[in-house]
This record gives sequence, C-alpha cells and structure tokens, in this order.
Amino acid sequence: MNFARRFLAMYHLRWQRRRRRLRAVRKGRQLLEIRNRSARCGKNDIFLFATVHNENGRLPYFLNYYRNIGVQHFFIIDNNSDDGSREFLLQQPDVSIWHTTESYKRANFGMDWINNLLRKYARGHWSVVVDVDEFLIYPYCDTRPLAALTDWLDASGVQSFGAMLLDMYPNGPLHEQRYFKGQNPFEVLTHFDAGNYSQRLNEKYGNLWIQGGPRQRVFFQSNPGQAPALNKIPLIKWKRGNVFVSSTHTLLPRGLNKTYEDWGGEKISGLLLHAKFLPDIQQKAVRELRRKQHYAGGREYRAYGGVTEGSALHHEHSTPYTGWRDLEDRGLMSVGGWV
Amino acid sequence: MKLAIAILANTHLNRVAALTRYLHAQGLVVCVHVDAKVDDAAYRDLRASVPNDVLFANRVECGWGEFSLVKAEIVMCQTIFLAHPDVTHVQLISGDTLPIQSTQDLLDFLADNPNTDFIESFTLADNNWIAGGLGIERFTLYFPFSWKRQRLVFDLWVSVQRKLGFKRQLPKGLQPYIGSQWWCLTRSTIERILSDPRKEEYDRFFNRSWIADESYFQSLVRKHSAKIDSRSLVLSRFDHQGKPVVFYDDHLDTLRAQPQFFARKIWPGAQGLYRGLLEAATYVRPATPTGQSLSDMISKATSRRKVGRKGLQMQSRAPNKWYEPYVVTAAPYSVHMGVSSVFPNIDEWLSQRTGSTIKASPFADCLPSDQPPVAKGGIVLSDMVAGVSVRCHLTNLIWQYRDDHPVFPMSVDDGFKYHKLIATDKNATIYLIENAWLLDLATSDINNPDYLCREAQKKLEWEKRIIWLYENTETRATFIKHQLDEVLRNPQDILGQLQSNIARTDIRKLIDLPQLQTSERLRETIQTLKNRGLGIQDMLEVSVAQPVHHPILAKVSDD
Repeated sequence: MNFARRFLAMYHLRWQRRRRRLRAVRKGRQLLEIRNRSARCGKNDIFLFATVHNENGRLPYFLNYYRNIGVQHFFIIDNNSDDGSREFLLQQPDVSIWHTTESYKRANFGMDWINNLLRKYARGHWSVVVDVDEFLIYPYCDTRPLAALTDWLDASGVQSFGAMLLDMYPNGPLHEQRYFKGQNPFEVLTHFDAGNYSQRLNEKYGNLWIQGGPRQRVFFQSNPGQAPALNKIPLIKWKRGNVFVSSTHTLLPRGLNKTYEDWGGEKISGLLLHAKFLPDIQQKAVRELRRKQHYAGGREYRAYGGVTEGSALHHEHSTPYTGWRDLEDRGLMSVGGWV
Repeated sequence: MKLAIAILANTHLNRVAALTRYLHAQGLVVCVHVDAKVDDAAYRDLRASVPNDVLFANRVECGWGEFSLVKAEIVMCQTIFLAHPDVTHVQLISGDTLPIQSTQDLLDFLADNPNTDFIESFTLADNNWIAGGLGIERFTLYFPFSWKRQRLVFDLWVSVQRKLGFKRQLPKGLQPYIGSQWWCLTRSTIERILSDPRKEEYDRFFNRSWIADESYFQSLVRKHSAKIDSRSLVLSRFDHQGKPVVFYDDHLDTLRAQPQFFARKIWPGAQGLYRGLLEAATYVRPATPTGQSLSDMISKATSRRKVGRKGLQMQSRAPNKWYEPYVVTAAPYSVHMGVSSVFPNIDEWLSQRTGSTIKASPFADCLPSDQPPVAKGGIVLSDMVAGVSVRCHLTNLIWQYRDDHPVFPMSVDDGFKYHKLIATDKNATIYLIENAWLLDLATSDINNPDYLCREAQKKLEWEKRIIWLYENTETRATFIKHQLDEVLRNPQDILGQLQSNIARTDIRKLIDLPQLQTSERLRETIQTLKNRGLGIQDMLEVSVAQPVHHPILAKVSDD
C-alpha cells in the first residue's frame, strides 16, 4: 500500500513536470526577442537568468557583481520596464534581452518565461537563476571564481547548489538611508539576523522549507507560518527535462531539491544576500501592490506597506556582515567537503 | 646528475605548455605525453608553443586507472633515455602539477640522496592508502569495464566475480604493492624494470588489474631498486570520497610550506597559483609555516561533510529522524522553573556569573499585540514563532548561545509540547522548585478566593503533569526538583547548585545572595487554598512565618 502510494506520488510529480514544461513552451510565446547575443557563448560558460521590472537603479551593480564572480552571459526578461532599464541593458555587450508586456503573475511569477529560456539555452550549462536584488555568495567566493565551484560540483557529481535567502537591512531606520545608482547595496544594508531560521521538510518535493529572518521577526510575528520562504536553489547545471516549479524554491525532478544532508553531515551551500530593504522599499511596496502581480495577493508587500517613518529592522543582536567566513562559522552556510 | 621530467597530460594544454616552458627554462629535460584522445590541432598548438628540444612521446590512448597509463609512462622513459643518454633521474608528474620549491632545491635534494628511488610503495595491508576502493581484489579479479564510464556494469561484474569465486593467479614471486602514481626513479632502476626477462608476463598481469598506474612500478621497483624511499615528491591529497584535493589561489602559502617539491592537482583556472609558482623570480620559503596546515584544512572539510556541526540545523544540514531520534542541541543548558518566583533578581545574579541568561521563556505565551523580546541571532521569544518548528526554535537558541552555558526560565504553564521536547534532550538540566507558583499567587493582588483557587488548581495540575513527564523513564534530560519550603529555609543550597552548574570558571564563593521573595501572605494563601480542598503539601511553618534574613555567606572556599 505504502509502495503504491509512493509510486502514485512519483507519477504525479512526473506529470506535473511535463505540465510545467509544456506551460513554459506556451508562455514562451509571450517573449519577444530583442537582442540575442548568446551565439558567441563558449561551451563551459556560466549563464545567469533573471526577470526585470523597473530595476534601473539596481542593475549596474547587479551585472558587475555577477561579472566579477565569473558569469559570462546574462539572459534577461524585461517585463515592461519604463524607467530606462531596457535601454541600459541594450548597451551591455554580454546581455541578451527578451521583452514582454504580459502578466508576471500569470506566468507563474515569471518562472514560465525563465523555464522557457533555460530549456532553450541553458542545457549543459551551469546557470544562476536569481532576482535583481539577490547576490550569490558561496564558500571561498572572495578568492575563487564561480567556475572553481562549478568544476568542483561537477567532479563531485552534484547538479544543484542551495543558497538560502539572507535578508540584509540597515543599522537604523529604513527611510533614513541613502542609496545611489551603482552603489554596493551592502554598504547600506549592513546587518542580518544570524540564527532565527526554522526549517521543515516538504515531503512532496523533498526540499527544506525555510522561514525566518527579519521579515518573519517584524512583519509576520503574529502569523509566522505565512512568512516568505527563504530556501532557494539559484545555481544548477541545467539538463533537459528540468523545470522550476515555484520560484527557485522548488525544482523537478525531485532529486535536485536535496541540497541538504540528512545523515548528519553538511553539504556545501551558499547564501543569497537579499538587498530588498533599500530606502525605496516603501514606495516600491505601494507600487507593487498597485501592480497586483505578487504571490498570495501581495501579502508580503502589504506588510511592507506598514513600513513607516522610523521603522527599523535592526535590533540589539543584529550581526554586521563581514564576509562569507563569518557566515560559515555561524552555521548559515557550509563549505561541505570543499577544501 | 641530470633530471628529466615526464609529464602526463590530457586536458588544459595551455597550462601544460606554461609548466613545460618553465621546467625547460630551469634547464631540465622535459618530455610530454599527450593522451591520444586529445584532438590533433590542440596537440600541434602545444608543440608550437614550447621550445623545440622539449620531447614528445608517441601518443597512447589512455583511460583512467587503466594499463594504458603505464604504457604511456614507459614510452616517455624510453623517449627520454634515447634522446638524453646522460639523464640519471626521471620524475613523473601530471599536466595539472606545479612545482612548489625551486629546481635547485630539488636537484640538491636528489644529489644528497644518490641512488634512491622516491616512490610510494605500500603493501596492501596498509589500508590507509586505499580510500573507499578495492584491496587485493584489484589484482585477483578481471576488469574489462571502465569504472568511469560504465560504473554500474563495473560494480555488477565485480560482485558476480566475488559470488563465483574468481581468483586470478599472481605471477610467481611477485608481491603487489600500491602507492601514488607520481614517482621519481633513477635511470638504472627504470632500465632494470624495462629489461626484466619476465616483463611480458608482468605486463599481461597488470594489464588486467585495476588501477595499474598505482601498482606497476610500485610493485616492480621492489624487485629492482637498490634503495627505496617510500614517499612521493609530489604532494597529492585525497578527500574522504577518494577524490583528489584541488588547489586554488588561496592555497599558495599553504603549498609553499609543504615539504614536497611538486603539488597536484592545481585547478586550471587558478591564475594566482600559476603566476605565483611559475613566474615569481625566486622562492622565499617562509621560516615558519604560514597559512593553515593542509591536513587541518582537509580534516575540517571532511568532518563538515561527514559529521557536521552537532546541534546545528541549517539549509544544508537537516538530520532525519533516524539519525537524530531525539532533539540534539549544541551545548548543555539549564532550564529554571519557579526559580524566579523565589528569587526575583536571579537573572542579574546569574548573569554576573555567566553573562548568558536568556531573560524570557523562549516559549512564552504571547498575544499578537505584544512585543516579545528578541534574543541572540534575532530569535523571537514567543510561542507563536516557536510554533513554526519547535525543534528548530530550541536548537537555534542553544546554537546561538553555545559558547556560554545558556539559562532560560520556563514556567509550568508553558505548553506541554515544549516540555516534552526538552525532556528528550540530553543537554538539558531542569531545576524545578515545586509549588513556587504559590509565591506568585501570594504576592499578586488577587483577592477573589474563587479565582485564586481556580488558578491554583490549574497550576497544580500542570505542575503534576510536568513532574510526571520529567520523571518518566524515557526522559533524557537531567531533572532536579526542590521543595519550596526547603528552598525558603535554605536558599544557598539551590543557589550553589545553580551556580556550579553554569559556572565556566571556578567560582566557589557564594556571596551576594540574590534577593529572596518574601511574602507575609504565603501562609495565609496556602491556608485559604487548603480550606477549599486543594491538596497542597504541608508547608513548614518556620520558613514562611517570618521574613527570611539571610546573612552574606561564604560557602565553601578553597582559600
């Protein structure tokens, strides 16, 4: 009986995967290719995929950050920006751009579009899938390029790399900070919560569901179970048949979600530094709520709408960010077996 | 004395070219073997980018762990001896190797050890060498399948042979030895091996063995060498999976401090290593080793991967219920129940001694409108947040305070599930002062006897359940129970226990006792409750009747 149930669950996931892939093909028709420079990519290049909506202020630092750690080509979907993001991206030699005016929400929060590009271009490549406010750090990222990590993962037979979202916030009231275009956001967002993350195993997809951090602590204190999920798999060696199910939280086939060790050891993992709480968060919350394109009716942005003058995420035990080694010591990420 | 370097190369030929140019510029004879699988254009590019008198051996198609590697090595030796009759030593390295000491040091070292063959050569009994692989079966079974490409068939075939009891005969008089592939042999030894009358027979035997490149020379050298120094001049380390440890830019200082002369394997993208080791004008060996020791680095990574940090739950460590059937926390901690009812200032008193008290119960009942306190790591001390995952809440809290024995208060009316969890934790020590809640009631301004009675009844029941829980045989936590009347009579007894339980340093003196909660109404309250039929144990009259004045006590002291 147990066996039959398991078999059914597997079969169900298989169909879900097929459905998602078909959906990616269908929704892919909504994408208009504006500039495709991917033809000149090498066979071992590392790619990055992202969807962008009015992120002109953040894009310059974002692109430079990932260029520096060794991403060779960017695949960007512009979801109807009107702040000059597209013009800026067109000037970049290593960016291919697609454009769409369709609904972000109805494309499974952009994942259908991303799945479509991944399936077309990423096969056999290590690919980073992130938002524009997420910055990947991994063990030894200060001395070793991303390719060192992906080579090691290849040698270890690992195909996906987990990195929890780490919300960064300023050391003072949110609106008092200043951020200028191109600036390193972590000069403003200097602190993080070091250890209030709780995790549960999701039996269906086999991933860990992680919640916590300042967002749960401040905005979801009275209903912490609804706080946003922080588990992510932003780096993956793409294979035919892979598909992202919900944001980068969940992948199919199921085995790719097992970026953790359940027999005591630690697998290698990184973090996504999340630059969400830049000074424009309040305006952004209002704008995004009006756009009505976010998860669970924009529950999260409704909460940020309550961010008022003087509200701060900082508390007496906030930890300043000093680099990946400190995060590793604190047990937020792990070097796994990488020497 | 003349040294030749034989390089086995198969990928990243630009790096091989840089290495070759360097070694050639150092005045060494260099011979390169490029795997026949590498395409000809790349091979021609390599030849064009190195000086003309670098030797290139005839190309053999090599497979990982196969005899073809030995063939390639033999071809290289023959090429070297033919072109340079005066070569006295051959050092075998791979294309992803780099020198970590100066060539002059290497030559001096070889001159100081004449007629010595540097080759790791261990008997199979030395199991340390084999990391998760076959032992003697490397030689007694047949291996027609590739381990890299046909893993499943390989494993299947091995188990079939084991079942059927296959056993290949070893050549007479040959005892197999194994060791690192990267040797440095003298010319005479190599020549004796290559001209051995039974070479055909040995070749046939090793051709069918597994990982012949780590046993061919290692075994035959035992027959032909005048003097063996069983170590490799090439640093090559393996991790717990048997995968070679790869070196990157940040290993530069560590590598330079190693006693060997070469190191592999170098990541092809390690620009800093290639620059630092091939282009630096002179080697300046630090007098004292800088950087972390390599063995420490490897053992740290191994323990991270295999065991992980005890009591840590994180995104890439989530022990399942079979590995950790009970909650496992990172460090010992104490839970106080009823202590703060008797000693209202116990927090300050304890924190003077440890600095590690958590002021509120991590599982305290909170209303949505409350602002619950936040502990280290941003942990919100409220049952609502704990409710997302009780186990994580507890392990997180202890992990954050793991360096200083944490103490936190709980009360009998905290949820039973929290107590149940803590009861399974070996690290927990629970101090309960039974009936201490009576003091709370007595000092509160409840005047309605009905209400008082209801409250008391509730607390009494909860307390009973909790005591039953902690005194259960399945409990793994340490449970220490005190009676309220005893504590009131003799407070330094429990205080001494609390202190010696948490103190990291040797604090023996028990001075500055914390303030003791006193209540004129305690006796009266007890009487009221008793009169209403509550089964409260008889409290001793003395302690309660008069307010307790305790002198400053020096308990036990060494001096």
